[in-house]
Amino acid sequence: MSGSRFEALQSIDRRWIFLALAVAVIAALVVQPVFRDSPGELVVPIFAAIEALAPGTPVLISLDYSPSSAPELEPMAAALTRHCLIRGLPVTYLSLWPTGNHMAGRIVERVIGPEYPDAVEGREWVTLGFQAGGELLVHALLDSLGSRFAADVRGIPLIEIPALAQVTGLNDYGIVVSLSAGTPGLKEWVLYGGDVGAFPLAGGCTGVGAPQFFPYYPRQLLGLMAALKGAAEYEAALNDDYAERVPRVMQATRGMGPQTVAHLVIVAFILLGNAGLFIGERRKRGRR
Amino acid sequence: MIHPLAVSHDFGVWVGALLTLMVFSFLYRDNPFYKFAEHVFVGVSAAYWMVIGFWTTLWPRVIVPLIPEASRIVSPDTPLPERDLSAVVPAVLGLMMLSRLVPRLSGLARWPTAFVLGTTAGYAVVRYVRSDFMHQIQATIGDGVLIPAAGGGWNVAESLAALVTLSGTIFGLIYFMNTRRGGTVTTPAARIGLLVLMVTFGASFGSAVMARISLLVGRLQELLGDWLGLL
Amino acid sequence: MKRPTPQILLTGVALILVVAAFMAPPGDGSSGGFAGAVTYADRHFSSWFGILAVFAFLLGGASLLRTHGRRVRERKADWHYSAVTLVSFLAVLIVGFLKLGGPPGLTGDPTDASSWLTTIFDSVLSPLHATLYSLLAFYVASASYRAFRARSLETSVLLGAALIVLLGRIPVGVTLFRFDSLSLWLLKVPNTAGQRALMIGVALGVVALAVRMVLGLERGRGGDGS
Repeated sequence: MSGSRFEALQSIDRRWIFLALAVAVIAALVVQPVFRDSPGELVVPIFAAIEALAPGTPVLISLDYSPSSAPELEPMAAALTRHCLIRGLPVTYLSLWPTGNHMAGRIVERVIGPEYPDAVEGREWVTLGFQAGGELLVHALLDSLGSRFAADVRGIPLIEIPALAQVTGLNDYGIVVSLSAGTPGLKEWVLYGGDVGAFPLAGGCTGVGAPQFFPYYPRQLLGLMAALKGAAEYEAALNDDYAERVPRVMQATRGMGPQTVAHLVIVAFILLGNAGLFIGERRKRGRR
Repeated sequence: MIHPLAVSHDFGVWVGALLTLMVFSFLYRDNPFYKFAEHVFVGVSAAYWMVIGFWTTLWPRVIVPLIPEASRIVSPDTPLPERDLSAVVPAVLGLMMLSRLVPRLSGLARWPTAFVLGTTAGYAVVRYVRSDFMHQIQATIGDGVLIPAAGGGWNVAESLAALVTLSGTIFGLIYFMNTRRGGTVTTPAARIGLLVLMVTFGASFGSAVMARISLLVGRLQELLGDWLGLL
Repeated sequence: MKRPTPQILLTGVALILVVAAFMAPPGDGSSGGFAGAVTYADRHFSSWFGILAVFAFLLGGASLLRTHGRRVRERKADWHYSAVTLVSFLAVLIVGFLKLGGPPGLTGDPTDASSWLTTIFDSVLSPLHATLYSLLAFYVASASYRAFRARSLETSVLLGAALIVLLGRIPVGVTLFRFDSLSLWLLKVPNTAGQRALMIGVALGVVALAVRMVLGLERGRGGDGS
């Protein structure tokens, strides 16, 4: 190959890269390859902890994300919700983000409504929604949910909600899981909640934030679902134990096919650029 | 499995799809469609945050405690709550914060700012020291570097991992302390620390790429599925 | 006599909250005495913080109205885009404050499934928010291609770690030289080491900054822009 071709390998117009990525992802979405995952080391403790809870033990899921991170975190929320409803564990949804009310609404509309039509709001689940304050909301909820939430999103006072009959503060939950896209989120739950209170804390996070939460595992975080793969691993655990009671292919597992193809495209471009660099430099050294 | 084209008849889905395509048009180049979508986003999200903040927090924790009769507007059937005048303090601080909009009065905003900064500093300092300093040191050296195996002897893999974690943390800290202005690395230990941090940043980048791809996959799934009915 | 400055408020609030972190609340729940006063302050300061956060949202919205309103009034460059912002802002404000479309009057939840705010969220805000962030996928791919070149030992290590994570976090990584186990080890061991060093450094920085703020050594924090 001539020198100019090696240089060309290192300077492909970015719009060709955009096009290649788009075509690869669309093709994978259309073909829909399904790759079965298996529960990973950091996801198994969360699944096991929920399995170990006695029916009726309340679980708290904090939906600390917005639509921009929903593709990664909503599958986690959906899988956790399915698991809790199958096990008979009442779920409380709240959020440190203003979009949290609508994110909870989506879980109700897309998972609870179609798959668990006998589930009753207030009994199987309750949505407390968003309250401003970020990490200081977590701090306040340690002692009492009522210090910040007078009622759920329907306006029903907390004292009249069966799903909260055993709950005064965070320490009364069997497990608290924060699904977090940024700040405030999982880090604030660790600093202001898990490390101060006496409840098991687990987390789900986007790929962007995942590496920073590894130091908290396992002493400060029971487990961690990291990015779409973490969600797919949890879905795999659900499929292993409750195959007849959950959809065969859930959201994260379906997404891992296009994800795989996109990663391979990006790796290919990185290797292509480096190949051009190495061969070009070898030729330069050869000429000298 | 691909289905025959079955375009949605839902007006909301069409609006979402068109706005999505307007934003994607930026990939070719900046254009009026993208700018339109961007400005819609700015206006809608700012108002959304205000509305949600007002109804979830300001109304139940400031307005109703100060004017219990106002609760009849939202909850006509529930008993009147008791008046709580402690809500005056945040209400006054909040109004002082809004004084930033009036140049003559903008100095008043320094008080709520001072309160917010004092609160943040007071709560954060203890928690960061506990969770990000003491607990991290404890986790690094707590079990030592010789991890016993279940059946006696030493667990070589776990011990090696503990040693790498301990030494990597120390070298990383040495790097922070031994780097001159301009980023010049001064000692071999600091260079090793830099390599450890390069692994950290590489892992972060790889993870970040995964996250962004997931967003794209999710968006295209909705376009092809909800809008065009192909999936 | 010199006017009291907000610094006194900042220092006082911070010190009370640091003391509160080490003090158990009074067993009888009273608010008398030093312990009771500190506990009262702890409970209320955290509540007031959240309320002020919402006032900050209101300030942001009002500021947006003023800025874009001025651009439209004075017909500055691209003023018609500012008009788009204003129209969208006011429309959502009215729909949300009046809880239009949901249960009658103002009795319902503004995020009720039937409310117009929810329709706007599903049709406008959610697609726009998601799409704007998904653009980053393309730019991250392009940036990876352009910037990830193994020119030195450090960049080679960075590149190697990124490739291991990229290949290990997909199902294909299981068959490709066990990249899945390698990427998990990389995240659990060397990544954790580096992240811990960063966290310890940041924690010390937070303490240093907090002490400087409490002692009044940090300038430029006044609300008047000083």
